[in-house]
Amino acid sequence: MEKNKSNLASTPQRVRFILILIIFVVVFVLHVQAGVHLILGRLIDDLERLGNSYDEKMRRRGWHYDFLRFIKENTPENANILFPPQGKYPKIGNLGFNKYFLLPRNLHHGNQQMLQSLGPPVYVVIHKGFPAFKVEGPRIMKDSENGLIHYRPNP
Amino acid sequence: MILFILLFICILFLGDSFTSLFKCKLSWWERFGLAYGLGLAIFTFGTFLSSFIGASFNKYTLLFVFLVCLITIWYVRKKRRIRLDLRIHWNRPTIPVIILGIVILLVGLSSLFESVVRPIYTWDAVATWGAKGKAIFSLGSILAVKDYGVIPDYPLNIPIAMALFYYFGEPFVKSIFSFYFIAVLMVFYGSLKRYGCGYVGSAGTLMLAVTPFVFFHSTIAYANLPMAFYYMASVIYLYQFFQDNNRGFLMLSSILVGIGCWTRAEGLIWLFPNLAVLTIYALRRKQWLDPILYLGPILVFFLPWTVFTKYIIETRSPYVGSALQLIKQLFTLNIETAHLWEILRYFYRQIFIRETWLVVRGVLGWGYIWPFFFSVLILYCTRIRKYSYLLSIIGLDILVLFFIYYGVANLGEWHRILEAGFMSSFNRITLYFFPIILFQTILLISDDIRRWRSIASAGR
Repeated sequence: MEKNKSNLASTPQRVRFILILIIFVVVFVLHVQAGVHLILGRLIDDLERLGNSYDEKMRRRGWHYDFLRFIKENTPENANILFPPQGKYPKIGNLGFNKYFLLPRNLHHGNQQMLQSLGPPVYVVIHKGFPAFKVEGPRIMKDSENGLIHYRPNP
Repeated sequence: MILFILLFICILFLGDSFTSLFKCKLSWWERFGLAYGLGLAIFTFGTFLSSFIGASFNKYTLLFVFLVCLITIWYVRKKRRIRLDLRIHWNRPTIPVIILGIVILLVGLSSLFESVVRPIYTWDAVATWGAKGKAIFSLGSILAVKDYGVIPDYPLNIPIAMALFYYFGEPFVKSIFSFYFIAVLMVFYGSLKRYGCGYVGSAGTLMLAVTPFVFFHSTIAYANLPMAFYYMASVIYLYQFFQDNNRGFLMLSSILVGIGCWTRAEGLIWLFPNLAVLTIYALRRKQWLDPILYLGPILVFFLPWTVFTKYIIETRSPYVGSALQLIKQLFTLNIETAHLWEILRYFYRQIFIRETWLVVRGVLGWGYIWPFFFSVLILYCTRIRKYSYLLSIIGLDILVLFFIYYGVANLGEWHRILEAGFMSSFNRITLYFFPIILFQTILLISDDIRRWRSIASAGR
């Protein structure tokens, strides 16, 4: 029986087993070392910014979060807001993204026709050349390129 | 905080009660992991069904759904005379396993910490999942998904779970994904332990835990890691069914694939590798009923969501449309070697070179797992026959991945895909079957180690 068992362990099989063990140990060490290094880096990054507010954390991501916050602060919850088209303005025109921060306001894409179909209160986003059509009403500017128009058509 | 812990215990209790219906012998690791994944999905599915009878999303509906789910499970349990067994069978672990266990626990806690500290910030997480979850919670209606968030036909397992966790504040919402991460590790380790891979199994679990892409997905609010959990568990329990022919495992696997359909729109596509291999198994064993049995529970999750999307939120069917499109592609496939070559080249770069072989950079890497898998497979080529079913599923998974991208390429969007979404989505889809690759690698190594141990002990 013992002889049979030891016959199973031929030299190529021994070599293969040793090779597998070496590969396993090397891969395990390299992989775990690299992974732990990455996780620790992220952990340290988080610990350094532990005291940051939600706004600071979002600002760090580089999205248009500040502008959305500005819109939120300057519009009522039942507002209809007209945004630039997503094709030309992929970031600011992404209504799915914007709705997360502006809920429960109603967000729309569109042109002058769409603007006239919306019930009050209506706001139009000003962003890098948008709107290209005339919108009547007072302007609330965040900076030279971004702001809001509170749409109030003349009777 | 106490209420959050209470909710968590309720989810675990619901999930564990449900798992016990299948009469499968599972380790406590697997039971905990499955209890979370199944408990949460059943809860969200029950809440979704309640919207069919006009119930709004509030605390009373949630309590009602929980009680109905529990009473139904208890009724089935009583009918089938299954005793409730909440005991944890604990074997005394060895020192190396304890050390590895502590490291794995620390990785899990790091993920949880990062999830709690960082807000939902990634683009798709905000637009696709977060916006829907927040809208359901704030507006108190599941119908809110029609107007909030992008792609309304994506299933609602994750948005409803997010809405549920919004009751405890936004930092808790992302913890859903860290708990899925811990559940993946528990089911992974528990299953390996069942096959006698103690030390190697815990080392493999640690390797899975620190894989950059897997860890990263446990800290962002994408539905890919939950989908990976359901698909990985479904394959593992289907493989267990091939081992002992216990239909409880077959049903468990089927439920998990079904929940995959309830988690991601492409969930149905991942049914096909499992179903194809199961059909081969059924034909060889002359168990004709098994593939039909396998489809049954999937329809439970598949049909209500299809009806909801088509007739209530009036959008296209999420599964049928994409699946039919892909099947059409299969029959009208116009092989363009340039596209095929491009996908192959991309796949090679992703698994061998890009952020992988030389150095792990950023969060996109798979670490060293893919080269490890292929080297072990080559060295153990003589043993492939023993694992033919599992390896067939892995092979089909890779083919499905190729096919999805080849299909998209044929739709004429090739350049857009390459430039924009290819890199990110290719890896995210690979994530679904990535744990199975490591699982197979560990099985092969453990097999040899056990064999050499027995030879050594016989020699003594």
